[in-house]
Amino acid sequence: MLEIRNLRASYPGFALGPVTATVRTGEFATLVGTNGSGKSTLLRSILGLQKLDGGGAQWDGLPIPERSPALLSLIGYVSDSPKDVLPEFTALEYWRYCRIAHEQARRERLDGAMERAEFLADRLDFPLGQASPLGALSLGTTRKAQIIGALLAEPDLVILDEPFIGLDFIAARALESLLRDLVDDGATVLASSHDLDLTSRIADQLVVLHAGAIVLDRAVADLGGSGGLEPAIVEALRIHREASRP
Amino acid sequence: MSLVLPTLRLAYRRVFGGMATARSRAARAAATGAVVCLIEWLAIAEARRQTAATEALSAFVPPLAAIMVYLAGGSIILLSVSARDSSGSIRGVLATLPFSKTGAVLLEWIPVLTTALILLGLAVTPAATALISARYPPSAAVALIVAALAAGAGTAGLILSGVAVALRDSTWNSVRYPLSMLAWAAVAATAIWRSFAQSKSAYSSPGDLALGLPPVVRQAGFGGTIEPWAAAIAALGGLLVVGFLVPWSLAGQLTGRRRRIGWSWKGGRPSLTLGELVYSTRNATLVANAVAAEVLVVGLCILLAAVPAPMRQPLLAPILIVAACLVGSVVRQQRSQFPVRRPPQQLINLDSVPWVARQLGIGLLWFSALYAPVVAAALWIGLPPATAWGTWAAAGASAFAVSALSGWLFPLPLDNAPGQLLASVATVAAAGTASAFTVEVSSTSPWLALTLSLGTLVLCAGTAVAVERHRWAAFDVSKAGEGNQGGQT
Repeated sequence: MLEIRNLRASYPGFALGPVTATVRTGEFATLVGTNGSGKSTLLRSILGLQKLDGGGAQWDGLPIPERSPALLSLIGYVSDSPKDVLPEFTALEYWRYCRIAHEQARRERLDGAMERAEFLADRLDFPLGQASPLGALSLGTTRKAQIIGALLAEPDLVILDEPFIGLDFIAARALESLLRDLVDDGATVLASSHDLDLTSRIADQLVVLHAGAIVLDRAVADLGGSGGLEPAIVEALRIHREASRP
Repeated sequence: MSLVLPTLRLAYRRVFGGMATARSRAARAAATGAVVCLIEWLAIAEARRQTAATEALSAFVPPLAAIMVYLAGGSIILLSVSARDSSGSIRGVLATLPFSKTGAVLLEWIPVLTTALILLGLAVTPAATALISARYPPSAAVALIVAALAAGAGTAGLILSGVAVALRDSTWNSVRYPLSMLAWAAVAATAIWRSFAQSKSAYSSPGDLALGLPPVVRQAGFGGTIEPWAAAIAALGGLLVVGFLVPWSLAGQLTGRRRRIGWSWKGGRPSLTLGELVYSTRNATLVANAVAAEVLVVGLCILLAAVPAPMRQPLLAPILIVAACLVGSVVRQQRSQFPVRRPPQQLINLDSVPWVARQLGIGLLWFSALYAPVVAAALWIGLPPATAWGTWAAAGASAFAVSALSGWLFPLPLDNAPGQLLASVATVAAAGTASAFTVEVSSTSPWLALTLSLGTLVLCAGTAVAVERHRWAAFDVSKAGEGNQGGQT
């Protein structure tokens, strides 16, 4: 279970939190919010990639921001930037590098990791025949390589920052199905997204962030499917804006 | 042209810290200025001391000053091109705005050229001091420096433009710069040789005129002076080449990455070190600078073998120091391959300490491989092995440590052209000073030099580890500086 407790982070002009939320093991939570609401900051803060002012996040009771390699090897993370890869490597080399990193952290061989990477590449229609460096590939193709790199070690917790950006509609559908399969196999997923239709299809839980605060945290089923998400979010935002007025 | 000032302001922000506050940027700029002033003061003092010590040879000061300024002019222009935006990101932004291709390239070049001009100004001050200390008339000294500088910068600019036009296709991206460096080294060596060969003749031949330096040395050297009108024409020519011809010739050049990888990292023992070594060989900027440094190192080896036997031993230390500084500039760029904040290695959950250790090891491997030919040349021409190895190790250890330290403390992105230019010159100056000091100590006390070298290496490794651990620790975005990426969301 992913538990976020009183998590706070800030920098000039912006304050996140205190944020408290829980994502149950084997569920898919989507983080939704307006531009600049703090979604990426929250995801980075959970992982300890940003200085916290207080609080923190735990995975199965273990504090994630302390960044112990053994714990981190159970987490797959895709940042909001497709540039966060090693651009001079080909995709296969990058995945090999990720595999060795996970092997060192877990202190065990991951013999099936490259086969899994190739399986994921096949599902996401990644062009494996190319010998081009990642930096020479298109945005969407690099994004696929990044996602495969995060998933090849079969993580228990997957944190994705707007993973569908740059993907064509076929790849987006393939990723949607892939993530749902991961959850069905017991993984926990927390992903930020702006796509409410997708959220209604894929997510079990909806978390809405606005101006650094959670304004809605509900089960998607309780909100009445795709038609119910937008009114619920708009209403939550309206209430929060009114409450924030001096 | 109203965008010139904002472009310069942007460059200033990039050099001294992207998201840092105005006050901390100003503090960094002031600190850099203070260090530059200190280095400049030391260089001027050394020029005065050398000139005073060799009073009998003061007649040789003007030609030697002309040669030094010529070499400084050419090398700084070449360095500017090497430091130029290699990622194409600035050009990508300018392409979205309504600029002509040449206009966009000029805007891209303005910060680089401005930095280059400042550095050229700093480079000529010690030469001017030496000339005035040797009682050369001040107006003639200015004319000599201007003419030599224009000849050096203009020659390098013409070579760069020629290579850029001849090899315009992106296939040649990683070849252009080393080839330009090779051509420049050859032209500069020829120009220096011709300067001495024709110094006593009444007229310069057309070939000597084309080389630039020989007519300057002939007119100004050995008791003569250079006419102001000749200096003005040379300056105009140099400015036209550097200000217009070079940007124009690079305007249509594609800076894109190679599209194919020749061989893949797939077999062998699964090792992150091997993977990272392979990765460093793929970076076109790093490889181009390594090849260019090696070209100059081989040139120095040839020089060492070509001079008369009695001069070889006295020349060994200066040649080793220069070679170590050149090779050190490749090590300085090692950390710049990755973002300052949240490098991909951190995002795939690696630990910072082993990563730094691996990167330093790879840097040392690059350094040793590129620096080895000088000691091999020294041994081959029969210099005493103890002297050759001792001086090689003393100069190398200090230059490696200072260069790596500079790279880790100030990991400016490779596309930060003015910053790279400034960092290259500052690192070469610091590494040169440290190497010269260690070599001097090694001549009197080898054990002290060994201790000093090991101490510098340990200090470098310790600082790199501490700095990287601090960067990888939860990052306080409010104190973020150069190299930040991403927004707040």
